[in-house]
Amino acid sequence: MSKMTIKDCNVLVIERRMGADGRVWAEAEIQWERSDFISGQYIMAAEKKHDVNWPSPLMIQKKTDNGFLVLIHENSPLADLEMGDGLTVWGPCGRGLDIEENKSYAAICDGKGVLLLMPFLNALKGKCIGIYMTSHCEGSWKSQWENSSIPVFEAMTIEKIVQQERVRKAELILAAVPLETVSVWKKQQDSFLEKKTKIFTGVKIGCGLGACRGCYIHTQDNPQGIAVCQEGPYLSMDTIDYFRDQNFLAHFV
Amino acid sequence: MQVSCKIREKEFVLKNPVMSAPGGFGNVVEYKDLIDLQALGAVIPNSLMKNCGGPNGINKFLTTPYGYLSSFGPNNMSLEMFIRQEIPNLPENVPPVIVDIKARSMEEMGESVAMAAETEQIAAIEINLNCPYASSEPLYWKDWEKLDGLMRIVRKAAGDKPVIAKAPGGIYPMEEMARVLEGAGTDMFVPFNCVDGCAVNIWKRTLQSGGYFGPGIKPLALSRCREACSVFHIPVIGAGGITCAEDVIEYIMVGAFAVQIGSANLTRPDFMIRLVKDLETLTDKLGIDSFDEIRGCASMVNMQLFD
Repeated sequence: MSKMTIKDCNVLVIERRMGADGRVWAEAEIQWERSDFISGQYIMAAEKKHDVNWPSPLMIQKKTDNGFLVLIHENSPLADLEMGDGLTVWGPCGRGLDIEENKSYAAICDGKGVLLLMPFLNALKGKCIGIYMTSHCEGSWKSQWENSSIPVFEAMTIEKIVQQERVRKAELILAAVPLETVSVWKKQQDSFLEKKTKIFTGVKIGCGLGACRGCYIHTQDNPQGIAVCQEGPYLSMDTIDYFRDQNFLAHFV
Repeated sequence: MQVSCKIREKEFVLKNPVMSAPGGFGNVVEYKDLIDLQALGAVIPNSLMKNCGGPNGINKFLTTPYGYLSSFGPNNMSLEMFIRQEIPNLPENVPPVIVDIKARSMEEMGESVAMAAETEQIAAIEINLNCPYASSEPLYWKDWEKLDGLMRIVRKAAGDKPVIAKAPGGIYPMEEMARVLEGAGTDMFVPFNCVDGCAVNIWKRTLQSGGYFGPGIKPLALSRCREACSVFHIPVIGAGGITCAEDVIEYIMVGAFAVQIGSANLTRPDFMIRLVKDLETLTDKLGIDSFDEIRGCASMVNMQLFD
């Protein structure tokens, strides 16, 4: 994993637009000279406006000339950021996913989840064989992906998605879906698909370093559990004990 | 600027009064490539127990405007694993390593302390009396006789290693605590841990509870530190809501020997490093050459209305 650094930097540009979930997302460019992150990694960012500034995780979308882009959901503590605002940033955090050159993948998500999968869609367009959504795709996002030759299938139930031949034939599944959808999916007991699914694991992340223990979830391999902030946020679906940890699993924003 | 005190006839020296609090700094190794650990006075990893503990299957962490609620449970590697795996991974010139130990029973505490006492790289042993998962009845820190028994077991098991007692959560009678802890041979005391707190999600109608930590608690924690310093004869380590160099000076001015930094480490991983630098600048501005010049200097006699 790349070495983590801490930096005080600024929000260079920020634009608000409707996300694929119909909610407001802010697309922010953050000033940072690093380029050695891989898809699926994130940063921890704390603003400097208040007396106490707790950090929030922000998924790195893609590199720009002056830094990188992040998407910030309207419910995020950082939703009110403006151009020029100062941030304390550290990262890159998480393991990310280094998808092999010749591997194709399918994306399974809802409207919020598709934006969490954006780093992969940005970096690995040609390898995505389809975006299978459990909700409608709001805004202009659908046409954006279809222009990149990624077919988008909307408003499908998860039961139907996991039965799709193209999905089952994909070498890798990337998923970002709400907990209720995971619950239905897990009940299918489809170990074939779970083994090749990397699923976004949304938990409250406190430090991004694996230190505070706030993000630890149960796993069969390690009695201490694993730190989502270090090993994730994309984890193999068959390693996560959703029913044991369901009380605190949710999307992070 | 160093701080020192006499413990069992030996000088206990820290290069500065800033140390991490258990629960605010991981197991220390997470930070070793990120910050210069040598700049700190001492380091304390997350609380350790005899056996490793798994994650709590609930919402463990909730930030609030001036603090956070946490219920991480006993989620950490075992003390033995920390000694065997993590201590060798610490940098060569790491500052004094103090382990914070929790236990489900008095016997388990004695065993863990004995293990820590045999480890050369451990400079001191902190007994954390905030252990909601202990199994003894009554809980050993809620009964003075049991607490006395516990600390005598700890004193014996620790040998020559300094023993620090960290207060249980909540409020307790300070004079009684001093009588029991000092009588049993405790070397230092941390008078504040956390208080119980909760928050409600009004949209989901759910409740989250846990220990409340953070800057919102500082006036209470500072008051407890002042009270402890007036009652205890052993060094007191201040803790609770420290977010800046001025806070450190406040704790020292009410009598603290050193301070622990917990929640502030979550605001940025290099918080303590910056704090140490800010403290140097502030002591220059205050015109002091040693913390001894100001330790305990704040008193009600000098009280003025705040500007």
